[in-house]
Amino acid sequence: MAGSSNSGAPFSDAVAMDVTVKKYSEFKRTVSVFFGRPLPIVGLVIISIFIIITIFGPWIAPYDPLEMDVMNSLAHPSSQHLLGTDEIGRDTLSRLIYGARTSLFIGIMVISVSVAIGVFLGLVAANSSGVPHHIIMRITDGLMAFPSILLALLVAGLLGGGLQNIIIALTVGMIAPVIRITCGMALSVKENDYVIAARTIGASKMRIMLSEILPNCFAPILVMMTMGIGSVILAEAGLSFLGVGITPPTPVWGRMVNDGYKFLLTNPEQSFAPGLAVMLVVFGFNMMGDGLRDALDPRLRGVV
Amino acid sequence: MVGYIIRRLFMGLIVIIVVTILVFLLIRLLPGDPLLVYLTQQQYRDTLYDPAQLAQLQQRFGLDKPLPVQYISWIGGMFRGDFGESITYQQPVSKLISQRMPVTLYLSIIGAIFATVVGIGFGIICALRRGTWLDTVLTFLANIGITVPSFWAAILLIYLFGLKLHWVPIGGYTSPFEDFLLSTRRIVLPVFCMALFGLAANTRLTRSCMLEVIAQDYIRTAWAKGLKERVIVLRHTIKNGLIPIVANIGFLVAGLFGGSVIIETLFNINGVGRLLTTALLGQDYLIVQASTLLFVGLITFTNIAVDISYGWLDPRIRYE
Repeated sequence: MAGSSNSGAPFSDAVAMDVTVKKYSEFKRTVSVFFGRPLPIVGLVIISIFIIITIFGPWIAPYDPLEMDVMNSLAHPSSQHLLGTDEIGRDTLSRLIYGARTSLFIGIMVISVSVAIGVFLGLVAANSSGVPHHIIMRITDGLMAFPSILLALLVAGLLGGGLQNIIIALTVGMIAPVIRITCGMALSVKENDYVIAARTIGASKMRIMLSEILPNCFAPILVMMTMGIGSVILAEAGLSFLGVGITPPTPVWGRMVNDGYKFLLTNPEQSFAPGLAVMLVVFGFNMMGDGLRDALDPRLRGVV
Repeated sequence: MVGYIIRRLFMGLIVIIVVTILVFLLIRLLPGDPLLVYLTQQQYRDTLYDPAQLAQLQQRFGLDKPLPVQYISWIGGMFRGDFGESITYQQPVSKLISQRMPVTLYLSIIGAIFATVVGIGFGIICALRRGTWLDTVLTFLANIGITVPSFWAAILLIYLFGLKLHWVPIGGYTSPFEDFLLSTRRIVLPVFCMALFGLAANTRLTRSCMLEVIAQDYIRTAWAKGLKERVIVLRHTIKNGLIPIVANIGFLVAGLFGGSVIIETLFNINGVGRLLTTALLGQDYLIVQASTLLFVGLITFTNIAVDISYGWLDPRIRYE
């Protein structure tokens, strides 16, 4: 995984310098813990397959996801259409494959934006006392009181559908927990001796924030990002299921579940398949996040 | 303790003020003008709207005043129970919501009890029987439970128990005071789907907290001084292991209300969640504003109550 050779164990460099001590690699330990148990590996495999599908989608998909074949609508699964076709004869498997692209794109975009903004605000809140701290944290408290799906639904509903608006809406729904976790982590990291040492040698506030505190918040942020992609994909599916999402005819999993719901009795696979896809991918990200957390820093259980 | 309670209440009050400002700004500042919708949906349907009429309406609803003044008058109206009138239903918003609130509350309370009792039970079983097949199965199911989209779980269950086995009616709601049996049969699936995430999350959380407590020195001491297993589990392990679960009740309630938005829509249950979704799609902003505030307000009150009881359960918290 990402080269996190000194996260979580600030003293590893010091240990490595002492020649009498056996060389100890935090990176090797992390990798061996991560691969030591089955579930994180299952998660990694699922995510790898998911990413391969999103990259090579156009070559894997048997049909054009938008191509209608009205003569062949609501076809049952067969050798031509492995998962059948929808209401207007579009191949469900191809739509599923293209839907993976939308999900992953939204997941990565939302997590990158909300982590970038959230980590920044969290660090600012942790490093300032008085007014800025209180303003940031009280707004975070307020946002945390909203169920994140409700917040995303409100913003998406008011802004209207479309890729860009959905990304904004989901980002608003994701940002508060990022701020809170970063601020909490930074406050506890701040108490460490190496931060006090840096302050003693006259390092500026900015420098302490960026080169002492931020690197040591790396583990929770990485875990949060991994699990967060799963939550975003789940929330996006919820929004598009309710019809507040990416505008048709772009294939998205949540809307496919809803479209298929009308034909549950005759063509259950229309609804089952995209839902199963959401579940597998979210499961993959959650299990990988769990594994990363236990490998990087088991003390984060219950925090992230 | 009294000082702690006062501090928490004060913090809660600030959160509530922040929340009202957020809801207010969300509705006012984002695009989509409720008055334009009002004009185009009402008597002016055939004609194009006329700017003079728009200005007149703005004056009538007080929308021409500066934002802080609008906010104050909105809050003032709220204290009088006045949330304005719905455009689509032609009824006071407060009436629409108070009719539907018991339904959502009933589903959420049953869901919360179910998720807490069963989730904690499963978590305790897993922790006490760590490493057995029972632990493996329950933990795996819990991992699935936090992953599965609630609407998809609902569709699977509707397919299996409604369409194939015909055990339960699909969709709709009956008040438990009218026909208790029918009501129960109808709410089983929606309550399960709403509670699924919380149930699974509670199982995972209870398991890991219990395992943490089991590894503590005082548990070893309890074993060493020869206490009975029952006493160690009930008095020492569970009591301390469950403190984080209490802290999580606020999230559980938030999850249930958030879930009600999707599940009520899917099961055709006439609650606040479905009212909110339809109002949002139909751009009936006063309903959206009031029901959001109601949900978030209830969640905030739960959080305050949780914080206070948390300080009572874990005295260390009070002195932070």
